Amino acid sequence: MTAHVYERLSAFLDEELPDADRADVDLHLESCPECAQRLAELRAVDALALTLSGDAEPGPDLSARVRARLEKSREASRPRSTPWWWAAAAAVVLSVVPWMIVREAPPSESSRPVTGEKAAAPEKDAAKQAAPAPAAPKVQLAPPPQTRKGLSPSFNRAAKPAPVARDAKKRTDMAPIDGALEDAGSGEAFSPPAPAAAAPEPREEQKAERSDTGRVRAQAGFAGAPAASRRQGAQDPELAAIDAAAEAYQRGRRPEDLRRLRALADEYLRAPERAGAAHVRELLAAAGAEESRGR
Amino acid sequence: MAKAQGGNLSAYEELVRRYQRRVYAVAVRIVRRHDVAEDVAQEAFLRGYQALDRFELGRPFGPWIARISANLAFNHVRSPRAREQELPQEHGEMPSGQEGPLETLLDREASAVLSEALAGLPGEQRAVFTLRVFEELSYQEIAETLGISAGTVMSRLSRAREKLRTAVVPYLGRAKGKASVSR
Repeated sequence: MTAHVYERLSAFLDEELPDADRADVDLHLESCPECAQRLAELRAVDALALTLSGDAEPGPDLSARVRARLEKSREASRPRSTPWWWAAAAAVVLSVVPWMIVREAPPSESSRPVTGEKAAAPEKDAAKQAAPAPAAPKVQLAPPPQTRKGLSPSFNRAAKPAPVARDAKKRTDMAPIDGALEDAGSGEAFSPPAPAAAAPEPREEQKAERSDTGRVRAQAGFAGAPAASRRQGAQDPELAAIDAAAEAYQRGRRPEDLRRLRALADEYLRAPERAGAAHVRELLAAAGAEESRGR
Repeated sequence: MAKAQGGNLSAYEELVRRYQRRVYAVAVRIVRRHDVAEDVAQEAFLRGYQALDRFELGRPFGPWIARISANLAFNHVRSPRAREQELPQEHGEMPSGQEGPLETLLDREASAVLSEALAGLPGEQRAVFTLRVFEELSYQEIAETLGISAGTVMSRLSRAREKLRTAVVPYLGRAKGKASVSR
């Protein structure tokens, strides 16, 4: 009789032994009542175990709790995908907007002040695509400096070119003209430049007009003299008469007015150290020059 | 099942309802604690959902999800913390009230002793016994489920059965004459 096969009885019961082992155990069991008895007891234990009810059951809300956790897990996983979506959208916007701005900028744009105006380009471009504009001068494609339709007032305010910078530039450009006016002694009170930020557009036009007039007067030779002498004439009647004669000659170029001007001037210059002597001499010289041109 | 695999939570919830008792039973037989078994069952269903794309349609879902539960329970009983908290008497299984062929052979006392003996087994041995007897898994399947070798399954199962036999054998006398012990 071979040795007992206690250790292999469990696997023999489960039919998990290799064929050779199984044959050995089979052979042994036929001649060993002890091992056969133990095998019967093992089988009874299994059978007894199967009669044990798992009387404890899961809570009634197990399925609901599982579902709740799954839904929570889904919610938690959504933000992970959101950055990808937003990153893609941001990439598209960042790549398209600069292209549209460049495309919108007219060739003359380089001479314009760089402001937030350009931010309106995509919308304008879209508007143009919706309603194709007729052939128009290139300058009309550029928006008016301070008005851009389709944008909110706040955006327009923010994008409006800074008046300080533009006005300051104009003032610098106009400086020679203003100087000519003063040199010509137009007599008009040239008020000091108003604060650039408060300077409205019409003032620039007025200044341009003034500078044109001043330029003509300066070329005439005695342009500002009558008014200048008028300032002094308020205190000197002789000088006031000279200025009136000069103005009369300037208006009509009549010889009698010239003769009157020269007579009054000679009388005035006869007395030494007259305050307006230099001014009167200028008037005479200018009148003479004018007379020569008229001939 | 196909709906659940497609992400339909309601369909999966229905699967949970259908198999929750089995999944819980496997867990509680191994961990022997109701609260832990609840957590194990819940986690098993969550992991099952996450692994649904690897589940082959047409195969039974019950054994698949039960094995997930057994794996989680087995990992629990192997942890040092579980060994400290082992309460073998808390949820010992009791004989069912159902009348059956064996119920007439084995009295309730024998069942109580067996339940106590099961609770007293080391967790690793109890897990192997549970998967073999209650889930009827092969040694290879048990080995795969628990991450151990088939040889280890064989030896642990043999030792577990021997302990249980020793515990209940005094109560098997009356049953011996009635229950067949033949193969």
